[in-house]
Amino acid sequence: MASRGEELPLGRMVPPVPAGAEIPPEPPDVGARALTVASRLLAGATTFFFLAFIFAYFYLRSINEEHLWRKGHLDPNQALGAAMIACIILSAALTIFAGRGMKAGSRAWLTPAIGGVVLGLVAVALQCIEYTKQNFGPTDGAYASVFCAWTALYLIAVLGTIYWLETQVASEVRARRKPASTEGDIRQADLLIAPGLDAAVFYWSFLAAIGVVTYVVLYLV
Amino acid sequence: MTTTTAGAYTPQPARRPMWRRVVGFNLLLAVVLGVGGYYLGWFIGHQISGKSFEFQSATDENDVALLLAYLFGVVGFLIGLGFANYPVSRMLGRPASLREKEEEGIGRYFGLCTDHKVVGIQYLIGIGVFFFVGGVNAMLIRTELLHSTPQFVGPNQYISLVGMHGTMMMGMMTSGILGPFANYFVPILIGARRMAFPRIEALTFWLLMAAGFILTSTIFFGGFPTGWTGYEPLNDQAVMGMDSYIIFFALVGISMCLLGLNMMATILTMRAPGLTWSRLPIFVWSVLATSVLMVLAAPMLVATLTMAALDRTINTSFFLPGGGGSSYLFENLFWFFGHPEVYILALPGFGIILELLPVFTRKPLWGYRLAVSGMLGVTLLSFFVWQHHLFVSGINADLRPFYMLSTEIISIPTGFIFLCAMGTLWKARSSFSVPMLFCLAWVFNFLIGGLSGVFVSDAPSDTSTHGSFFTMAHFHYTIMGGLIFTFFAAIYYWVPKMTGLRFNERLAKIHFWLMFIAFNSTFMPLFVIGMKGQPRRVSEYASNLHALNVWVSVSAFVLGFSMLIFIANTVYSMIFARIASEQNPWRSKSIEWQIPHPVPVNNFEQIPVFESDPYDYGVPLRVAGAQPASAGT
Repeated sequence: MASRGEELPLGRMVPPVPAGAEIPPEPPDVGARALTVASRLLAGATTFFFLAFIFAYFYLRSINEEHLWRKGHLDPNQALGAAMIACIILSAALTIFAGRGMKAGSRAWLTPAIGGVVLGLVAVALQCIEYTKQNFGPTDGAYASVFCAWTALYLIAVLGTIYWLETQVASEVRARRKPASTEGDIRQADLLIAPGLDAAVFYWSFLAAIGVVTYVVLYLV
Repeated sequence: MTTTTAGAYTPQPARRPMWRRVVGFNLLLAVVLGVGGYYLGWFIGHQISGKSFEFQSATDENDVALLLAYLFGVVGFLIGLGFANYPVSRMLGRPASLREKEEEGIGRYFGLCTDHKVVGIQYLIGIGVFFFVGGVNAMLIRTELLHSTPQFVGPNQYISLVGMHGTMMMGMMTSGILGPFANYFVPILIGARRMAFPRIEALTFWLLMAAGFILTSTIFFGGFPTGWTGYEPLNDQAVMGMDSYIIFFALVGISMCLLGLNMMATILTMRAPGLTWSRLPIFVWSVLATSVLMVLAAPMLVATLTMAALDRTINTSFFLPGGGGSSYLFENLFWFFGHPEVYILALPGFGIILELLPVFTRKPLWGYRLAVSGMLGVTLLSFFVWQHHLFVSGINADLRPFYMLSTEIISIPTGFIFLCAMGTLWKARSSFSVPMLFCLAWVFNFLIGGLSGVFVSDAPSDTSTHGSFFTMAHFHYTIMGGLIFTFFAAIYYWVPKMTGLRFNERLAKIHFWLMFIAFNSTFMPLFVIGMKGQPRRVSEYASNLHALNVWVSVSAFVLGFSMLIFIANTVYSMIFARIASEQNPWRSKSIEWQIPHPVPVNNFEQIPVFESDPYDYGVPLRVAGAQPASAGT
């Protein structure tokens, strides 16, 4: 029979960690793999989130309750919509390029990554401008409801992903600005940034694909 | 099972002065910022919707204000706990770190802490508090049903009580086992030192606590009349209390999705060397299967509730026929989440049962691969059955046979799991400790729940039982009989490891027998009551059902009393008696019982190497020397 355990005060049931102590190093690929898996799972969750809107779109369109699905004058601004989706695709392409650059060990990856972040923000701005220009609001029937809610939530997803990309860029900028940064220090920083950048780039590319679907369904179909 | 050489690593923490512990990011600041955020949102909401600044008036019907108040309140609450610090720090390019606020004593349990063991304990207590609230609602419901006409609360309050009970239980139970037990034990069971994303782990807990508080606050806004399903168009027509439901379930959905994502990332990437898929503890398999459902189904719920919130606030027309929408759309979207949700509740219970039975029968788990395939089968099929909830709600008649068949087919993988439990029990020399008693109760309860499920999955019989107490009884047999009994099995089995203290055995056995008998005495007659036509969610019923209802109510009070015995036992055993538990009271071969108590900082000094599965009872223990940390799977 095993021995008795030690009776501990409530606050020590889980032993406190000494201040400043870090978790002992794991194999370097564990964190990277976790980020890779998480980005794929997040993509799956995002798919199901927007699937609800795709379902709502086709369901309400098919029943066309009291012919209120889409009133005649409801036309989203094609030019702004196209410009927005173009910005997103270009931004995703630039970040993919940046990710490949980093994997190849090139220091030039930062410029396309910054470009990707900026273009993502431009896309957000264009969508906001479109809201002010379009000739309908969310109360103008089922199509208008789906359009406004879907694009607004997509916008939030885009902003979140741009934030994620920005954290990678900011980490690299900080590493390069350190006064005593040597080439070796920057390489070390790159090793830490690479998995995060890789995951963010994957998710951003995936979100761009969702953007294309959004554009096709809401603007073209 | 493989052992580890993790030693007694007991470093002395650096204590911060008292004032530093009071001032800073903690629960106190979280409450202050939460309340501040609430009133800020309320103010902005009134400005947006063109009304005057009336934040004192809780009866003012302004959904925009209340939804914004809740959202700002939650954001303020999370900022107060310190959840914004790390994202801001990362935005400024500061390096990533895994650890936060793990240094201090009991204060860790009241704030953001990234230690998975602390989060597990937080979940256990936090969820327990909201279970208690849900249980009190159930007692009030049964008090009302002591009479065949409304006596105790009015019909509106009654339906609100039913809604609060159902919603609270459904929301909290989603994390009932994954929250406390998976967070605490999955990293240990797979030989890892932490969860993949410790901050997300902490976030899931605090989101759930904020959600529970918000749902409870619905009583200040008139409650909600929809029950836990929130059906349209009633949802849109309801008073502001409905907003509490929407925000509650949306937060639960986000919490669930993140919890599932974290669990999957942890299990897929952080298993120790030698822990192949065929050696993975069955409980971990059940967590993995549940996580798949959480990650995929919960976003659908969040999207649906977003649509409902927009309908209520800015007058979109997703579910309103007058604007081109359809309330039937809500029902479809809700149940696309709602049915997998049932398995989100059931699967962890299956995992607990199959994990515990070999320990108490001293036999290897019978049909390990069959059990795994059963869990995966349930996971897959659960996405193809949701329309059976709509058999009487206007579903196209041609679709009924498909959904009837798919629902009945799902009983096959569920049967695999049941079969594995039976096979493990077969000819076993079992010891009837309290966790084992709860496992055996599950076998009985879930059998009744499963058999009665055939009647509600079958379109012709569902037509007469739908919306009656029959369905309610089936559901409680499946979920309370299936999940809550396993929840208690897990508590009695694992809490001695979590706390180092043991429960009073006599009180625990009284709790079990009282709960088991009262549970069956409460819900078995409800099948009869349902067959005789009493609808659920209605406080008035035919006078010939009075005697049966009184019987059920008295049984329910006894069931409630059994919970008080559990609480008394917990308080007595954990605070007053404080008798230290044995190191491995169940003589389990599973790895969590092989490491010392308290579980060392970082769980293992060295990553263990697994050389066998955890169920090799009857086989001599193979002891392997721990190896230095090396690659994962």
